[in-house]
Amino acid sequence: MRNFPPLLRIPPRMLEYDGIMAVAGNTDTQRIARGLRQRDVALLHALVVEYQFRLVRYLIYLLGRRDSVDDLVQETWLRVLERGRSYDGHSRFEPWLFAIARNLTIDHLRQRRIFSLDSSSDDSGNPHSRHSLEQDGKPLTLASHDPSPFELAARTEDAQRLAHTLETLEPIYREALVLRFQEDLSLQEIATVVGVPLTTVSSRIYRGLAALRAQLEEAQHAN
Amino acid sequence: MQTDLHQPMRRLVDRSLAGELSSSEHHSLRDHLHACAACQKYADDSRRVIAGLGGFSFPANADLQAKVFAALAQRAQQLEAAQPARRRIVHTCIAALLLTIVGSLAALHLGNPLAGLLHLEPAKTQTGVLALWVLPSLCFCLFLPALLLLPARSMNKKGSVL
Repeated sequence: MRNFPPLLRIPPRMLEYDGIMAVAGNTDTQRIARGLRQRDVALLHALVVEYQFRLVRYLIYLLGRRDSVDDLVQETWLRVLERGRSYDGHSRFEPWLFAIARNLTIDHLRQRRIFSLDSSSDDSGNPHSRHSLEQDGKPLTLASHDPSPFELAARTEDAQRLAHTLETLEPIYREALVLRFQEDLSLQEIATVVGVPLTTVSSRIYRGLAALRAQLEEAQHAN
Repeated sequence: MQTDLHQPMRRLVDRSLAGELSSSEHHSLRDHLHACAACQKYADDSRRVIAGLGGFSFPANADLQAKVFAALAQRAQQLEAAQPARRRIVHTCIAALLLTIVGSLAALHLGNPLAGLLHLEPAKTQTGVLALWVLPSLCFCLFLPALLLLPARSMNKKGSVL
């Protein structure tokens, strides 16, 4: 008899979300909210240490490139310092942090006119379509044939197989995947970060997964 | 025909991965996966993709943290320095508004006796007080915060780290 796969477990957060935090996590978020209201630099340093890696990863998934990530990380933390009073501590800190990073990224992309993260651009049904990855009307190409950040970061065989697909996947699908499976955010939290309905979040996750699954199956057949 | 049978279950697998399965759906999926090798493979492949996503490591640049700390310290100082100035502006504006209201009420009350002393029509005196005293004072009070904030903002821009 096969063991039941752990992926079918319902995350407890899904049951208790909707604006109300679990009691256990609430004190932490309240502490963070209080520190941000007081512009407590020591607390900010601790948050930087704790979330820096995750922020970098999220931004790389969002941008699909490494350049500008450092600047955006720095801007995000400065924004956290300046707008910390708007975090009320009633929900988790991560979605609020990622929402700030996302807004700054959108501003950055608009300035550089690289590509769009607008929600209207995700209904094509083709997660690989590059219609939102354009620069001056031409498809965006990376500056050189250097390996993508995903190829450089792949540490396992499967990761290496997925790297190319991730590179060509639309940013909105990559974003949904990283938020759900790496950051362990609930659908509701992702919807809040991205600013789209829950159904759109689900559909992005399904399509992103389907694209990556196809890539792994293809690799399996090739072997 | 077989596709029809598996498709809803694969949809359930997708939904379970997204974290949106109810308890009853969870049970029916579990039962189906125990009996169906094709759907079990679909679930295994999906899990493999998710595990594959965990196989990336994106180290932050070594000096990034130090840069962020330095930028935060600088910005915190600027915000700290701007705080008393802002408080002063708010106090000044409140004081100006209170004085204006008190002054205007006094002027309106004194308008009639003054008109009697100077042998003027009370209605004209009231209009004069309104037009020459009350309205200009209120307008000045409303624009005062903008006037006071203007130099502070230009100062902030010069020293901004953003």
